[in-house]
Order: sequence, then C-alpha cells, then structure tokens
Amino acid sequence: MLNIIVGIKWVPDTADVRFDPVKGTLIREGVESIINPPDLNAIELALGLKEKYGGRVYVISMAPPAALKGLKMAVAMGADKAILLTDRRFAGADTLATSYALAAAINKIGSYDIVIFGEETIDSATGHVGPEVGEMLGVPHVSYVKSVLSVDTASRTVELEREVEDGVEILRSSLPVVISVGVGINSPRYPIPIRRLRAEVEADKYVETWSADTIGADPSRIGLQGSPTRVVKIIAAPMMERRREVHQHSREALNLLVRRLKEWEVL
Amino acid sequence: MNNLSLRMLKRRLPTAGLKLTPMAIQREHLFMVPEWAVSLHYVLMALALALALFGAYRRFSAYGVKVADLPSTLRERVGLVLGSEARLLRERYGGLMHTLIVAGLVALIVGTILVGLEHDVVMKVSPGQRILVGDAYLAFEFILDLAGLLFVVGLLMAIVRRAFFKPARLENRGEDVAILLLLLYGGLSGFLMEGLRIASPAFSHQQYVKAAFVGYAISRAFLGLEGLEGIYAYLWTSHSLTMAIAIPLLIYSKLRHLPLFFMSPTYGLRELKAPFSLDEVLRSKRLDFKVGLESLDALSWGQRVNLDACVNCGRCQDACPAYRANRVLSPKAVVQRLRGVMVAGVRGAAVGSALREDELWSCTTCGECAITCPIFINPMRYILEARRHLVTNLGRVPTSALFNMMIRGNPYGLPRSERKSWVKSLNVGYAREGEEVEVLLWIGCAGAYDARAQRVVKTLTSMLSGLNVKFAVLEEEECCGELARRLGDEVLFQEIVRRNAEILKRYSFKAIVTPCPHCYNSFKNDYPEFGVRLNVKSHVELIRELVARGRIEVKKPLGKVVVYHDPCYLRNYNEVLTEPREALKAIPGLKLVEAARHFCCGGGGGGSWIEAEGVRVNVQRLEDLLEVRPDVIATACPYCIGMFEDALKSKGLEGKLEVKDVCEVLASALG
Amino acid sequence: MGGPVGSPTAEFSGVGVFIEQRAGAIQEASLQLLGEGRKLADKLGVKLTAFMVGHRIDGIAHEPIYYGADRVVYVDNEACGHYNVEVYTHVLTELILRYKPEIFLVAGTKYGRELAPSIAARLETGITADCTGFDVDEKGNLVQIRPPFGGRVLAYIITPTKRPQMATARPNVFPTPPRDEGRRGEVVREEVSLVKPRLELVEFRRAALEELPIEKAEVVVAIGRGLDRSDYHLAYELCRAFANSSVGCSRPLVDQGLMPRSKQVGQTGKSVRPKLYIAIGISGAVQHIAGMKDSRYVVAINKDPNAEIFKFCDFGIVGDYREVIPQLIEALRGGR
Repeated sequence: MLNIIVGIKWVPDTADVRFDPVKGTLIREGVESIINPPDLNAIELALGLKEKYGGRVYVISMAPPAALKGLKMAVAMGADKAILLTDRRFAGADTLATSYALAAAINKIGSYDIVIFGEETIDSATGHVGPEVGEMLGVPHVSYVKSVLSVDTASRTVELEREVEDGVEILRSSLPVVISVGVGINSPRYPIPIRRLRAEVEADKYVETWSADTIGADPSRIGLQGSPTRVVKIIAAPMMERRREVHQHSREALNLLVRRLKEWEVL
Repeated sequence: MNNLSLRMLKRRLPTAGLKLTPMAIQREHLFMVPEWAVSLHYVLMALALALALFGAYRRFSAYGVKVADLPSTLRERVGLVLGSEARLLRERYGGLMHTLIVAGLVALIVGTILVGLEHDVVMKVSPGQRILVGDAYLAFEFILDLAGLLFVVGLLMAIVRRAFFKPARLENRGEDVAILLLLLYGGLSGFLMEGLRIASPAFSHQQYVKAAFVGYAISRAFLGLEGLEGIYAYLWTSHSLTMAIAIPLLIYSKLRHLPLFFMSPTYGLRELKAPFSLDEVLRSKRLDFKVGLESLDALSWGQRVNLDACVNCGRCQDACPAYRANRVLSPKAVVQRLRGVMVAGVRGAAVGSALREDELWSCTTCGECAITCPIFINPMRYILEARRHLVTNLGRVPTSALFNMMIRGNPYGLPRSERKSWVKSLNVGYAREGEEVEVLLWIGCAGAYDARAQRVVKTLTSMLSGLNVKFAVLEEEECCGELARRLGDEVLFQEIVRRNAEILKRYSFKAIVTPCPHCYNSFKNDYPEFGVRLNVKSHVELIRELVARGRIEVKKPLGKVVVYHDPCYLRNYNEVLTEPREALKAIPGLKLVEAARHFCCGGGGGGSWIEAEGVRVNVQRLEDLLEVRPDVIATACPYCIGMFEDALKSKGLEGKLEVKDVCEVLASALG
Repeated sequence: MGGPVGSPTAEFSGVGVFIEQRAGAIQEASLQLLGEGRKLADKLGVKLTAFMVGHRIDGIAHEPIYYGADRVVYVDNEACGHYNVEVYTHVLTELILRYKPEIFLVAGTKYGRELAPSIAARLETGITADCTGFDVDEKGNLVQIRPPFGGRVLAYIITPTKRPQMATARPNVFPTPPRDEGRRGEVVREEVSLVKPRLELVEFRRAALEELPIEKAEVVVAIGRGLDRSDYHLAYELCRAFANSSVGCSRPLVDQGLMPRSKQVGQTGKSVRPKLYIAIGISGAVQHIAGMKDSRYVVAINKDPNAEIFKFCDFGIVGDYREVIPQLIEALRGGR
C-alpha cells in the first residue's frame, strides 16, 4: 500500500503565449491553460504504482481556481483526491516559495511514501521544484526518473531507474522519496469521461481547496515575499538575423547551396 | 394443389369411393344446424372480432402507441418492403432469387387462404357458393402454378449458388441448407401431388386442367399408372408435415426475419442519440444513466429484435471496407455474435466476450453495412454503442487524438495559435457580432492544421472572394467534436457542442458552409439534438449552387478523365451525390467516370487517427478507382484526399495522377 | 533544516563555479561556466573559485586554474566517487558556507540541474535555471538572463537579498574558454565530514557510445515529422557527406519511439550550436528552434513553403526531400 502524492502545475499553453513589446509583458489573455505535460506522465506513473502496490494517489496544485479543471481531469484519470492550494498570498512565488508551500501542504496531508513531480514545466522549465521540495521535506529526491523498478514496503525502499547523458543509473532510496519524471516515460491514460462527469457533479467528494492558512504557511516564505529571485524585466528574445535565402528545388538551387556551404567553410 | 382442393373434388364425386383423403370417416359439419343459424353465427363472430379489434385500437393509445400513426406506420412498412426489395436487387442474382422465392411463396399462401376462405367460410355459409369458379378459377390455377414454378426456380437458384458458386459471404449452416431443402420439398411435392391428381382417372375436368400447366405436364408421366392413391396419401401427409415444420421455423429459424421485419424499428445513420444530456446532468447533479453497450441489457427491445432478424446473408460484410482490407471486422459477425449472446441469455460485458476491441476500432463508420442490409439492420450502431462503453465508461481510447482535442481543441494536438495565425494569413474577414453574412465558412481542424487540407481551404476562400460571396470565418473556431462522437466520448462531444453553441449564437449568418463532410454531418445531424439548429451546407452544395446560378463561369476546358469518389459522410449519411457531379460536369472537356461501386477510403470513424489497418483500406479503394484509369481523383473530403495521397505514395504512384478536391478542379477551370 | 538564513550579503564575496567531473573527466559544460565566471569575477573585481568533488581527483585538481580559476577548492573522498545528490549537496553546502561566494554557478547537466536547486533549497537562497547570459548590475547583483516560455522572451532576474546568488546554464550555451597551462592559482583540498546517504547507487550502466553525440558535432542533420520513417537512411547518407557530423531529430520522433532521446534537439531535448544545422522535414516550431537557434548556419529543406523553419534559416529549399537529398548528396560529391 503506497500513499502517493503528485504535484501538478496549471500552465498557459506556452506555444500560444505572445509577448507585448510595448508593455513589456506577456500576453496571456485568450491563452488556454493546460496541465503541464510532464505532470501527466507523473500522474500516470502514480496510477501505475497504485495498480501494482495498492494505496492511494492524491494530486495537488498550487494554482488559481481555474486549475480545478485540471485537477478534476487528474481525478478522472484515477486519482483518489485532488487538492487545490490557492491563495492570493501565493502570487508572485518563485520556485523556492512555491516549493515551500508545496512542502507545507504535503506535510499537512501527513503520510506519504512517494511524491512525484513532472521534471520541468513548459513555461519556466526550471526543474527546481522536485529537488527543492525534497530538501524542504528532508527526504531524498531523484530527478529524471525513467521508471520505478520496484518498491519494497517492508524494508521501506524503492529502486529507480534514471537516465543521464552517458548512461542509466539504478538507484535505491529509502522511503519517503521525491521523484521528478520526464515527458515521454509513459503514456498518460485518458481521463475516463464518466469519471470526469462524476468529479464535476460530486466535486465535494473528490476535490478539496486549501489556503495558506490551511497549511499553516509562514507568510514571509510564500508568494512574492518568500521569493529570493525577482524578475526585473522581460524583453522579446532577439532572433538572430538569418539570411533567409529560400529557393524552390532545382539543380541551380542545389548548386547555389553547395557554393554557400563552401563560403561558410563547412565542406 | 392442396388438401382443400381435394376435398373440393371429393364433394363433386361423393360416390367415387376413392380413398383420396385419410379422413374417410369425417365429422358431420354443422349437423342439424339450419342455414340461418350458421349465417348468424358467422355474423356474430365477425362482429365480436370487430369489437375486439376496435377496443384494441383504442387501448393502444393508452399504451402510448400513437394510434393515429398506424396508417403512416403501415405506409412506412410498405415503403420498407419496397426499400428492402431495392436493396436486395442491388445484387442481381441474389435479389432475383429472393424475389422469386418470396413472390412465389406469397402467391401460394394467398392462394391457400382463398381456398380456405372458400371452403371454411363461404361454403359453410351457403354450400353451393363458390368464389373460385369458371374463368376466375382457371386464372387462379394458372397463377398459382406459375407462382409455384417461380418459387421452385428461386429455390434452385439458391441451392445452386450455395453448392457451386459459394460466395464468400455465405455460410452453409445446417439451418440454411435445411430450410432450402424443406421449402423445395414443399414446392416439388405440391407439384407432384397436382400431377398425381390430374393423372387420376377420377379427375373429370381434363379440358380445363391445362391451366395448371405444371401439374398438367407432370401428370403426363403418371398416366395409366396403378396405385397412385397410395403414394398420394403419403405425399399429401408429407406436404402437410412440411407446413407443420415451416410454420414454427418462422420463429425458430432465420425465417423469423419475416415477422421481425414488420415489427422492428429501423436505426438510420443519422439517428445516433445521446445517452444523457450534459446540461441536464450538470443541473440535476445526477448520474443515473447508462452509457453504451456495457452489456446486452443496455440494448433496447428494437435493437434486440434487429439482432434476431439477421439471416446471416453477409451482404454487410461484402460492403465493409475494413473486412475487405483485413478481415478483423465483419459486421455480420458482430450482429451474429451479439445475437448469439442475447439468445443464450449470457450476462456480463459485451465487449471482451461477444465483441473484441480490435474489431471495434477497425470500423470506419462509413455506414455501408447499414445502407446495404435488406432488413435495415444497422450493425454499425452496435459498434458505436460498444465504443461508447469502451471510451466513456472505461476510458480505453485507441488514439491520443481525443486527449489532444480535450487539451488543445484539435485532434492533432497542435497549438491553438498555429490555427489562428494560419487563418489570419488567409486574409478573410472574421465574423463580427451584429453583422450578418451570407456564409459562415467553417474551416475544420484538417483545413486549419493539415498542409494539404489547408491548400483546399485557400483555393476555396480565393474562389469565394473572387465571386464576391459575403463570407466570414470564425476567430474562435475549434474542433466541431465529430471525432469524439464517432470514437465514443459522449462527455467530450457534448462539452464541445456546448462551447460551439455558445459561440455560434453570437453571430448571424444565413448558412454555415464547410469543406469537411465530417463537420458538415455533425452540425446537420448530431447538433440539433442539443438545440443547435444550423442551416448547414457542404462546400460542394454551395459550389453547385453558384455554378447553377451562373455566378461561377467555367470557361477553361479541362480535358481530363476524372473519377469522383463519394465521401461516405456526404453520400451515405446525407445523400449528397449529385451536387458534386453536376459541378464537375459543368467543366467543358471533362470526362466524368464512375468507379464500379462505392467504398470507403478508410479515414472516418477514427480511421485516420488509428494506426495500422486504416492504411490498407485506402490502398484497396485506390485500386478500385485506378481501374477506371483516371487522370484525376476528385473528392470532397480532407480525410479522403489524405488517404488517397498516402495510398499513392505507398504504391509508388505519386505524381502519376492527381488527387483533388472538387473546388480545386473547378478553380483550375476558372482560368 | 539547519543552516543560517539570510546572512548579510556583505559577508559573501567572490564567484564560485562547481566543476563537475565524471570518472576523472571534467565536464565541458562546467568549463564553459567557468569562462563566464571569469568575466563576472573580473567585472566585480573578485576572486574566481572552482569547487570540485570526487574521488582520486588530485590529478585533475589543477585543471580549472588553466581554464581561468584563481583558486580550486576540492573534496576528495571515496564516498564522493560517483555523483550522489545527497552527498554532493552536503559537501558543497558545507564548502559554500565556509567560502561564502556571492555567486555560485553550476553547469546544467542532468546532475547539475538536480544538484543546484538542492543546494539552493538547503541554503534558502535564490536560483535561476538555464541562463543564457550573465551580467552585473549597478548594485553588484548578478543579473541572470534566461528565456522562459519556449524562448520567445528573455527574462532578466536578480537575487537581491539572498546569498549566494545561484544559477545554472545548459551545456553549449557558452563557449569553452581556452586552456592556458601557464596560468597559476591556489589549490586547496578540504575535508568534510560525511553522512551516510539514504540514496545510493546500485548500478551505473554506461551507454554505448555509438556515434558522435549531437552536441559535439560540427554538422547536425536533423529530421522531423515530414519524413517517412523508411527514408531516415537518406539523412544518414547526407550526414556522411560531412565530417564531424551527427544525425539529430525533433521531439515527435522521440515521442513515437522512432529515434532515441539522445538525438532530440529542442527545448526539452538538447541545445546544440554546430557550425551547420540542416533541418529536413522540420516545421520549425518554437520549441525546436530553441534548441538549435545558436547554430552558425542553418539550412532548411521542407515541402511546405510556409513552414516556420524558413524564417530561421540562412538557406532554404522548398521541395520534396526524396528528390532534394539524393541530388544534394550528388552535388556535394561532385563539388569536391
């Protein structure tokens, strides 16, 4: 029996986000939000472990109320319960402040064996939260996990496989442990439609909403106040000027390309 | 011809002493009952029956049966008979054979009823009275002999087909063989008996008997033979036995399709209803409904009757593109297996026992099986219901397309901004609140994301702009949800319908036109159930209109051989057949040819999204089209275009012929 | 959790860079960061210290000096033989508290991206991931420049009150500094008492190095969704026409299991900056561009004239790759 907690992030669909150079801000209006894709892999991993070892899966997200949609989707996939951690005081949090809040919430949940995060988000892509939450909980953490090989509840250990650049590490950790998983390690199961309806109609049974007070958060450690890093400005990324010599395919075009390659000294 | 005509004969020859019937000692009918009492009896019976029927008539309205509809129901049933006949005759041999058997049998039965009527009713009322007399009787005998002959010919055709031609779709089960032989025996024994009667020396009406020409011909072989009456007795009994066996077979064998055909409702392609209303569920917060074919209990009585009506003819199988390609799916097998489970009273899930997942996902939802079945069974409907159970109840999806639709509003899973920037680059006006347009052009996901389909849209918008048609596109356009419905996710489908309903009602337009037949069909036939009633047109309907009204002037000749492939969702679901052909024929120099028959390209029902089997369906359809040696394959659906171009690639024929949308063919002739 | 919280910034001085080594091989990405660290140290007028952790690394302890460090501080211990996040976090946290660098940079290798936030959380300080540039502001703060949202924007981030200011940068974002054996500096070996970790390595399966990893190649031939899987060999053939080349791919091919993850170029894959990048059948989605935009020259081959990739290329050919590539190979051979 495993108590598993999955942390998910509700992110703007990054491919749709545009930048307003006049205001110097990101245009998020009209951009739909989605569950951060690697988090779906995290949920799938959790559900797979629950199927194998029994237990329960809780999903948690520090997000605005709009994220309820995503949390209900997680319930439809098979999570037993979803917790929305929402409070205006969480706004402006960097990864440290976010990890603090998540760690406090996890401690509030109480007993847990494995905490799973997606490796990184499509918006900030830091990969920080897994390790930071691990540190704050005082438990071991492992990033880039490819699969959970086995869990031994008797000896309270877990064997993991993770990929690094030059090979694969098989690691053994004590429980509890925090792991971060990459996108593509599994195929997230489809949220069962009838269960989505159920999560919607019987939301009270499946979804809880917590505030900063619920988790007893120290206000100096959450939100903007609790963030050591600060964004001072955002500018449009300068695109390297490219020559953009585009031709329809022909023998001449190819000969021209070969000439260019020689000019560039790549041949 | 039968035992009653024999009794007729006996009456004429009361003293012949011939042991013509086994019943030498008979009951005295109506002994000591005067004529008037008998007449009164029959009149009272008639009145009683009439009263009972009238009462039942009135009662049905209490049962909720729309009594006033009975005449129209009757008309509908008659119409169905004609429709069934039309479907049967699509296959000439089988159609003719069945028509002969049925026509023959019906005539024989009517004849029997007439004789029975004369003997048991008319003659009882006034013994000297006859209805089958003189010329009427001669005509009667001739017609019945002809009917019997056709009956036998039809049966022989059936037997020969099963024994020698052995078409793949026909299985020779014990039941099939036995019924044919039984009926054949009935027919032949009848003729034989007639021959023996005519050959009998006691038979007096020789000069008239040639009307019964078959019996007469047979009788020549028995002239002058002894002991005929002995044989006759057994023959007559066996004939009676044949009927005794045949009548229960109307329930216990595939012959039940006869009564069931008249009882069972039909489920057309356009009638897929939602198992629940999302609005209702969210309002009432109740989840007390069932979705899909969880088990056979989920089938309505009509759907069960339909299952039992199946005679295993296999025409649906012959029409199925998935069966032709890979044999994984047979609509006939689906119906027969469900039927078997229903009759055996097996409880439990249908999928996994009677139906396999791989079968269910092989279906392209072309609907050909449903429009081919002569008894109007819709095998596809069972498949769709089973899909609903798999997906809505269990979440077992065969493709990530649905997840993509849920998250990104299109089955490709590509960002919304890509769609928006493509539409923007078309430079056509967006629909604006408060401004009515003639046409709201619904681009569809393929037209927004797939490079080939985008070209069709570009051609179409250029054409419409050039013709000064007032049209606009929707800035908020996302998926129409059709794929969700066909794959069985009713929740996602209704969520999408709701979203689109909210958006569409903000704008005013005379018609919504789309180049995608799947979007077209969904708007036209799926959306109205949810209160969204749109005036929907396919882009080929619009084009044809413009051509017919002279707004498009097709000047440049196109000296090419063009074969038009009907998209299933235009042809089968919506009977849009002639419009694209008329549009093409308007092009001078264009030679329009037809493929031997219609077959699906393999793209629908998830075919384009599910790996593996879909590919071969398209290759086979391409081969059909190649047989007429076209320069151009014209069609009107992005899935079809994609499938054919893929098929050309896999056959190494890329560049050898073109695949074009109808609007692209027209555009090239506009000059 | 122990450790001092919010030490006054004045106590912290100097630039620190973690030099990651695996089995005695110093990771080039760390040296690239050392190069940036050198610039920062010069701007601030402070010392650049390289921090190393490992076992039997006395022999390579001098290396960071040759690449620009003023000082090397290292821990050599059997328990540090193979990377272990608990051990390394503990050791480096300890070293940071002893040496108090105001800036601490870690190369964003797989290990680095796990290790750096671990240290930052323990020290309760700020950290920025995947920086593509650094600067120093008028107050002497480290300006951390990174491209969130798939690279559409550049964010400028500072850590005003916490120390050290931590940051990671992905491999090949910065150039490798030149090696100068003439450089001199201090090498200090430290001892740190170690705690038995709860996480241990059971086995390390080294990947077979079949071919040149894409991040080391001078020419990358990348394939995308536009190619039929039966045609991948065309890309390999084209690759062979160049020296020091490797085949890469866009993400969808990896997701579908058609190509290994090690070949994925893009935001969630690898960043490459080869001299020549040839994109075949790649549409040019932003997430892919993010991984190759620093290539010196980009050539694109795609049959869709409207493909985004043509906006990011120096030379583009609109055509069917099945015709273009064989003819190109022919032209290349003829051109020699």
